[in-house]
Formats: sequence, C-alpha cells, structure tokens
Amino acid sequence: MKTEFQYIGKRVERQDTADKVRGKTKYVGDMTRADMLYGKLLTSDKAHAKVTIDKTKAMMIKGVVAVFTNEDVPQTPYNSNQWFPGAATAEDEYVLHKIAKHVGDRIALVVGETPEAAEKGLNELVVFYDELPVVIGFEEAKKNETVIFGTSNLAFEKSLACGEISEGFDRADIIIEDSGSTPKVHHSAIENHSCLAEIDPFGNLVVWSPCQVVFQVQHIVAKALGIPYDKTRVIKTTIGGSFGGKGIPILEPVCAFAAIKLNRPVQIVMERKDSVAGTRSRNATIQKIRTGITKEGRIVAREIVSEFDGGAYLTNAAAVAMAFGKKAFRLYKIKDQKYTGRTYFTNTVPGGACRGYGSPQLHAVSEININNAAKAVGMDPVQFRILNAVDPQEFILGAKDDIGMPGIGNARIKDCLIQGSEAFDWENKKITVSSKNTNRFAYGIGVAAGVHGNGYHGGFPDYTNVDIQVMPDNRIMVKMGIHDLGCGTVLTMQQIAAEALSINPKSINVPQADTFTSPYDSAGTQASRVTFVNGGALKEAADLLKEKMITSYAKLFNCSVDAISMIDGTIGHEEGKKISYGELAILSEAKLETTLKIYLEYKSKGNPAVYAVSFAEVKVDKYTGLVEVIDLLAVQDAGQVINMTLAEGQVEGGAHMSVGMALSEEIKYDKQGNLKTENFSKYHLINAPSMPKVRTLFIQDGEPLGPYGAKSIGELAAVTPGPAVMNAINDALGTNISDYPATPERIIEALSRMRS
Amino acid sequence: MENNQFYSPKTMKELALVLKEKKNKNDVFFVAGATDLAVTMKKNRRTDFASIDLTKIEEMKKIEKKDDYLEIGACVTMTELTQSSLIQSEILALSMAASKVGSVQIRNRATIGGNTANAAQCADTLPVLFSYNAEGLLFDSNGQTRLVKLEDLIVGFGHTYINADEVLYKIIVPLGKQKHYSAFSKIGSRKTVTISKINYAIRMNIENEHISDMSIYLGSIGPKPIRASKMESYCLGKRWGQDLLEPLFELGAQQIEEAIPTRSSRHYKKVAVKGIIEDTFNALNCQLEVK
Amino acid sequence: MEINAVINGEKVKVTCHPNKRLIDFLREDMGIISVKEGCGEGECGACTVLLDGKAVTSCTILTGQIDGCEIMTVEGLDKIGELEPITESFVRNGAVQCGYCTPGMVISTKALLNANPNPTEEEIKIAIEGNLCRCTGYNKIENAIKDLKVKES
Repeated sequence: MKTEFQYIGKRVERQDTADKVRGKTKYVGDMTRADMLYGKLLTSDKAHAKVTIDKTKAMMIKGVVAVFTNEDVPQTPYNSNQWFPGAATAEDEYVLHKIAKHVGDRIALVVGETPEAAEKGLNELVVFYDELPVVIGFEEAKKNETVIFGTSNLAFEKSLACGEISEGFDRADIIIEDSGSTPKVHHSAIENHSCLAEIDPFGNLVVWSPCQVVFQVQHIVAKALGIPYDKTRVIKTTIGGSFGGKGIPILEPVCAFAAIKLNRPVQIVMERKDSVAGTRSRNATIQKIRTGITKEGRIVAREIVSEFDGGAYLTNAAAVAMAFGKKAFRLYKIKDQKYTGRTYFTNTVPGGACRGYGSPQLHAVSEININNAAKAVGMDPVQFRILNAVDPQEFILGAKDDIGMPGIGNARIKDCLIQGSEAFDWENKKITVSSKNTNRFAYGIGVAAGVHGNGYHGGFPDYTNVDIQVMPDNRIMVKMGIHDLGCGTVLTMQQIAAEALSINPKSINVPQADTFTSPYDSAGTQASRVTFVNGGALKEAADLLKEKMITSYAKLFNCSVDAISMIDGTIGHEEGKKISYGELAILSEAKLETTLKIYLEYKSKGNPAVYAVSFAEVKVDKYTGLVEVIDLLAVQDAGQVINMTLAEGQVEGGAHMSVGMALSEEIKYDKQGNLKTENFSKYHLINAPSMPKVRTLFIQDGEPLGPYGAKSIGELAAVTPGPAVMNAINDALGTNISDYPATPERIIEALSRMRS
Repeated sequence: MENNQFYSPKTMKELALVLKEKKNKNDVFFVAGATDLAVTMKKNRRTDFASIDLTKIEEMKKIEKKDDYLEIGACVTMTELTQSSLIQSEILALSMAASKVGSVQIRNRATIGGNTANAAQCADTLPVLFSYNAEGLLFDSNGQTRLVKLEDLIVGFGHTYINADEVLYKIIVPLGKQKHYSAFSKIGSRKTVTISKINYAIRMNIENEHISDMSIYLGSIGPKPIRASKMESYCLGKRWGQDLLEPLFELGAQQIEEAIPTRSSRHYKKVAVKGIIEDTFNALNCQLEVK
Repeated sequence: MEINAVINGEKVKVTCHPNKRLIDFLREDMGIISVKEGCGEGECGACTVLLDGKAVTSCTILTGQIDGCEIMTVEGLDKIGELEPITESFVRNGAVQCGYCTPGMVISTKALLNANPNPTEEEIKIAIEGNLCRCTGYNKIENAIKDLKVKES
C-alpha cells in the first residue's frame, strides 16, 4: 500500500541555499557586536605537562584586555559530554586546564580589542611546561605506569551478551578470527569551532554557538561557571558542518566566562590546528572478532572485543563503547553472542560523537570478518549476508531485541542486499571484474552491511516538546529544539508539518533551538533522533492542531466535523465558505477565546534499527598502492524518505566520510604525543577528483513508528561505504587488510607480506 | 628597513636598491606567490616582518626562448608553466610537474622561483630543472648577475647558496640542439592536491631509435633531488622500449635504498617508484608516437 | 600602507598593514564575510576569491600584493548580476548543505566557466580540487556546475 503524499518524499528546495551561495549567511565568525572583544585560545604544545603561564608581557601589549588561565576560572569540574543533568558520569574537565593532558588542550585565553592584539598577546605569553610522562597508544595506557585520571587508565569496561557463547562456538564447524583497527578521525567541518558570548540588556548571558544541543551547552556553561540555568541563554547559530564535532561544548564555558568577567561581548574562533588537536575526534579502536559458523554458512556464535582510545578526558568513554556494542546484536541473527568494550585514557585528543557513533568502527572490522566467514564456506558474501541477516519484526509496541533493547522494527536489510546486488550488477561483476586486471592494476568488488538506530529510547531519556501555532497571516510557527547541522533539518520539519496540515512548507517557520524560546528537548540533534523523534513529535502535534482547527471551524460555522476539509492553507466545508487558516485563527481568538495552538510533550515510541548496504568496485595500483573507487552504490533502508534531494545529499556526503576513513583519514601522533596531522595538507580528505559518483537506492517500506514511515539516514550513511571499499581492495588483491585506513603504504606492505 | 615594511619594486633597478637595504637586515622576506610565506607567518602569528613583493616586476614574469635555451622568470606561476605552449613544446616535463603542484588556486599563485628557492625536499619542479641542468640567474644589490647551476645552488631542506643581497631572477634551461623528450610523475597520498612522497623527472634524446642521452632525477628522498645515474647508464645506448621497464624498476628501487637506507618509508617507496617509472614511460611513448 | 585596488567592482583606497593576509583584510577591513577561513594554509579553498580573474586562496596572499589589482567575491558577482544562474543551479541541484565552503566553491566555478564555458566532467573535478566540502561528497556540486555549461543549441 502506497500513500500519495502532497509534500513527503518530494524534492522541495531548501530556503537557506540562495543566501549561502550569495555569502549572506552569517556564521558565528561573521557576527559582530559593538564593543566586541576577540578571544584567542592558547593550547598546549605538550601532551602531558603541568603548565605555568607568565602573563606579564602579554598584558603590556596594546589592545590586550585580559589573559585568563586556570587560576582565574571557577574550579568546578564537568564532563562536557553530559548532555542532560541526570546522566551519571565522573567529571574531569575545567574551563581552562592547569595540567595539560594532550597537545591542543586549552590552557589560557587572551582577550584583545582586535584579533591582532589577541594574537600578539598570545605570542607574548611565557609558558613553562613541567613535563609529565606521556601515555600514547593502548599498550602504554594498559601499563598504568602513568595514570591520566582516577586510579587506572581503564576508563570504562562493560560486556553485553545474549545466549552463551561457549555453547554457540561448540556448535560451530568453523571459527573465523580477525583483528583490526580504526583510527582517530577528525570531523573536518570546514567551519572551525567558534563561539560568541554576551550579556543582554536584562543581564542574561547569551551564548551564540554552532552546536548540536543547546540545552547541553546551557547545562555545561551554567554548571561550570556556577550561574543560573534560567539566565543562561544558548542560541544555535548557522553551523558550518559538525558531524558530531560540535556536539560537545569546547569553547562555550571559557567564552561565556570572559564575557561575564569583562562585561563585553567576546568572540572566539579557533584555527584548524586547534580544531584537530583541541576539540574531539572519533575514537580509535582495536578489535578482535571471532565468528563461529556452520558448514551451511549460518552464524551460530560471535565474540567481539573492542578497545577504544578515549583520549585525555572522560567525555564519551562509556557512551561510545555501549553504542558500538549494542549495534552488534541488531544486524545478523546470532543466538549466542558476547561483546566486551573497554575504553582507555591516553594523552591525545578526547573522543566524541562522530557521525555514526561506534557504528563506523564496529562495521569496519566486523564486515571484513563476515566476508572471511563467507569465504571459509565458499559462499558469496551477499548470499551469506542474506542468509544471516535479521528479518523485519512484527509491529508490536514495546518489542525488544536480543539484549533487551527496543525492537528493530521494519528491518529491511534483506531488501537492501537483494535489490542492491541487482542494481550493482553484483553477480555479473563477480565473474567479470578480474578480467580487467593488468600487471599493475587489480580490480575487485566488495559489499558491506551496517545498522544504526533512531535516538536514545531504551538507553537515555528521549523526548521533546513542540509548540505549534497558526498565525493570523496564514503562516505556521513551530517552536522546538532543533539544530540544522547543514543537512536540511529545518526543511524536513517543514515538510512533515506541511503534510499534516496541507499547507506549503514555505509558510511554516521552524526557528532553530534557543533555550529561551524553544521548549525543552532532552537530547538535541544527535543520535540520529531528529527525523524520527522530533519529526514524530511534530507530526503528532500538527495532527492535534488539525483536529483543533476542525473543531473550531465546526463550532464557528455550525457544521459537521466530517464535512470539513483542509487543503493548501484553506479550510472549508461542502456548502459553506472557505477561509484561510489565518482567518480561522483570528476568528477562533475573537469568537471562541482560544489560540489555534498545540503544546505537546512527546516521548519517543521506539528505537527501530535502520540498515544500509554498500557495494563498491575498486581499481588498486599495485605499484603505488593508490586506490580508485570506480563504482559505489549505497542502499539505505530509509522507511520513507521525507525529501529525496536531502536524503541523497546525506548518503553522498556520508560516503565521502566513510571512503575517507577507508583510504586516507587518520589523526596521527608521535610517541611524545605531538600531532603529526594538524591540518588538511597532512590530514587528507577525499577531494573532488578522488570522489566517485555515488549511486543511491532507497528502500522505502515504511517504519510504523516513524512520522509518515520515516527513520534515520544521515549517520548510517557514513558506515558501510568504507568497509565495502576495504572488502573490494581485499578482493582485488587477495589480502586481508583490516587496519584502517588502507593507505598506499599499508597496501604495498600487505602485498609484499603476501608474496613472501 | 623597518619591520612591517612592504617593498613593491616595479623594475630591476628599484629591486637593486631594496636589495641593498635588505643586505644587513634580518626578517626580510621575498614574496611572490606567498603560498608558503603567508602560511608560515600566520602559523607563527607574525606580521612584524618586512617583505619584498616581486610580483610587480614584469621582467621576472616572462618566458622567453633564446637560441638553445629558455629563460623563465622567477615569478612565472605554475599555471603559466602548465599552459605555456613554449613550455609544453620545449620542456614538457616542467609543464607536467607544474600541473601537479597543489590546487588550481595554488598554481595560480605559486611561482617557479618560489618552488626553487624554498628548496623544499618535495619541490616538484626541481627534479625537472635538475634533469635539464638548469641554472639560476641571480641578481644582486649592485645590479650584477651571476649564473649558478641549480643543483649547486640548492642545498635542500630550505637552504640555498643565495646571498642576502641576491634574488633568484631567472631560471635558464638549456635545451640542447637535438629534439629531446621529457616527462614527470609524482606520488602523494591522493590523486591531486598532494605533497610528493616521491617525484621523478626523465629527459632523453633518441638517435636512430637508441637512447643517446638521458637524465633522471628522483625527488623527496633526500634534501634535494638525487640523480639516478645507474638508471641512466643502464639505458644509454639501448633501444627505447618495453624491455627497459623491469630493469628500471629494479634500479629505481636500488636508487631509493641507497638514498634512504634507514628510513622506514623506503619499503614503500621502493615499490611505488615503479608506478612513476611506468607513468613517465607511457608519457614518453606518447611523445615518441606523435613525433 | 595605502592600498589601491578594485574590490567587487569598486575602486577602494584604504590604509592597511601590508603583511596582513588578504583574507583578514577582506573580512575585517572590507566586511566581506563570504570569504571564509577553514584551514589557513591554502588547502580547503573556503577563502577563494578572484584575483585579476583567477581563483586564488586569500589566506595565502599578503594584502600589500593586491595593490593595483582587482578582487572579486560572490558579493561582487551578485552585485553585477553574474551570480544568479549559479545560485539557481546550486539551489536546484541541492549542491549546498552547511554552506560554509559554498562561496569558495562558487568562485572556483566562476573561474572555470569564465575560462572554459563547456568543461568536461574531469575538468569540473579539477576546477574544484582545491575546494574541500565535507557535507555533499561533491556529487551534487558537480551536477550544479554541469548544469551551467553552455548548452549546445
């Protein structure tokens, strides 16, 4: 059954694009205020050191207004990752640090009348580093000779299990073991981290931040500075990309501190080097996977052990290990499975959300292992996956998965595999691909599957509030705490409300999150929750509003509710007159003493899984080790696409990140903890000539719990292309490379190891 | 000469006067494309230096053919080298090398003088210029010039034998009397906009289908490009053709082993060199076909 | 130092520190905010402007060097009416997400089309090789540029 939609699924054009092309859109770095000061952060040059800073000379520089160090700021510890006050966690960060725990750690702020003055001041700071032993890499961390926080460098450890793996492995005919690793990844939003803080005429602190969770920023700033939450206003600005990187407040507490202290607006814009070294990164992992299969190719048991490099602060040590682990139970039917995750402190950039939250790492290695399992029983990797993939769950509210998490919902992984392999021409390519081989170039194809979620439900509070109102001029105002990270979230919400109310999306205003005007939202724009949870809330609120409009109209015009219809911004009944929604709002107020408005607190109804499968063909240069991705098909189980252009944009952009992780992206440190990849000349993103055309295919079978059947897309999009490329490389070369990225050096090394 | 000064001479005469001032001062920098200087100074958060902008001197922006050599002004950009029909027909390898430097935006600014005088070990034009036995024409504060073989002028790792009151004025590239062929290739970590891990230039003459002269330089495996004499001598006198490839691969690897015997990167570079040898081999074949 | 230049079609005469980077001059002294900083080393292309018609990264140029030159940014193209087709094509093709790289991308597009009104796919890719975009994977940007090619009549 296919419903005909008026706006859902349509390629409605974004309304923010033209101004972005014209350069009119203001990001935080473009904002100015009369009397505004410029803050420049001093970040540590050393990976682990007690820092003493002499500010005398800097203070003498003309135009330097203040220099703040750890001694000047409140000594209240916090955990920047804590996105709601009730989340239990230890706290190990400060506004500015006395002990630098990684290169790039924030140790001082110079505030100047001009950017030049602040920079000159920075140059004149005399910094003395009393160096401490440095912990780099898992081995060093495990030794515990130097402990970064608490009593051990082991920051978190937990296992998840279903069944009993020893029994499962007993039933296995073959056990396939693989180990692999994934690197720290820099989010690489082209806009660096930035923040503007000021005091408004009423004495409130106003923080302008390109963030993902305004209520988290409010919480962290209020807590760290000991100021009232209700006087802390955080406004989400236009953002120049985030990908999780701006999900955790970095600059906000210190920027707010300076603005309060100096009672003047203060703007801080980071440089790239500090964005790489001093914000957050995707956690690096090392993994061991054992998979037990029968001769027929059924997976009967699996054990996954993953260790995470958590970096210098606690941040997401627990969250990433758990998010990674939970997904291992939702892609294949495995009766007996165990996962163990451990996170360690090291003197490197702290971990944080990074598009996919654990999924990119999990599937990076496990999908190579699945390929090896298929190979071990002589099965085609696509067929092997189809045989073992989960089936859609019957729709039952409150259903659970194997480890007690919310049910997987309408899981269309098999459709992704079947329809994807047809679209990719997998069977044919499998036979013909190697015929292209030459002495120098080897061709191969690869497939990889992946799973992701829809919010926090089942793990953390996942609810939101919506306030939706019909305005007298026939426009709709929607207040909710959303943050458009560039993906088009605003338009997604406009289309959902437009569909419910039958009105042009352009007539709907959905301002972005502002702690003073948006009703509370428990988790912000992260965890792939926005379309599913916020969109779900908006649809429900809009439906309630529609009901209220119809009842009001019926009362006003004394007609039967059934006779009323709403179309294109007008409401009317069979014989009666047609009026605009705006006119109805005016009449409702005047005659019925009510506003056409709904306020709804909405709890997420579930957390269904979303699935993706990528197919890749690569050409590998056996001399130089360079890989060219010559075909890439990304298939997503999307439930119902809200806007096809936006959905494609997510999948194409996700492929960019994932292929980058497979081929070149890696934050590297030397043994002293010095950053070797501090800018884009050393940290290589895929650029246009190296980016393949991404073919997309959406399986749209509807998710019963999602608004109009929609579920998440954007994070999952960055999960499977990389492993598919890896599997294609291994297919081309006959290697088993499982350390990311497959740099030219790694490829050549694997080839020579194979030869010897 | 004050800090924060900015000199923008329009003629060589004016430049000589500025060079006189520069002679005994620190913190005075030449700036042409500024693709390196602006970045370095920003990194060190410095604006308190003096610069001599060379981009307004027409004399330094010309490419001219004289008898059997080519004069390339130090301020000729990578884009100009890439697109110049003179460079394409006379020193194809230089056009190839220039086209592989940085991005469009960088090539529109970066100059051959900068690429040379910065003496970076990964500089892409240097292997080509060395393979042509190119010379640097230096201009000093007295308006005098001297000619030095580039290979002798460049020390590498940022150092040269250019004196404090001298500027690299032109690059002189001898072309020889006979028709020759040349090619360039490089490997970085991505297809384009990438720093060379190895780069490679080859120039040769063919007489009666046999190689009568050959020059090969490998860059990025030492402070400055290294002459691959073993590869050259192996080829001399032989017929140009597919048979040469395997031995050249072998000798190329040897050349790298000798240049960086202790670097861990040698394992990769010894294999990767095959790629650039083959790329240039194919490029030369194309040139020979259309001859 | 006094700088005389034509910026976005207007003759300007301003005093400025000559060793200031062009990007800082344009943003701070001229208030041209479309010029964005992403890396400060000429790698990301977000600060791309036209200098005498050529695409250059303004973070790798000293302001003193533009004396006597002509600078054009998207604001200038907009003013002289040359931006509209590009804007329409970028909107239609969904070529913009966060938008931070967009003005630089547009300038590289303009430089390409000025020199080559009918570029091949490969030429389009090379024209934007120095403009990093983290959101789109370039596919839709390339489509938008393709759509701008002079159509054969």
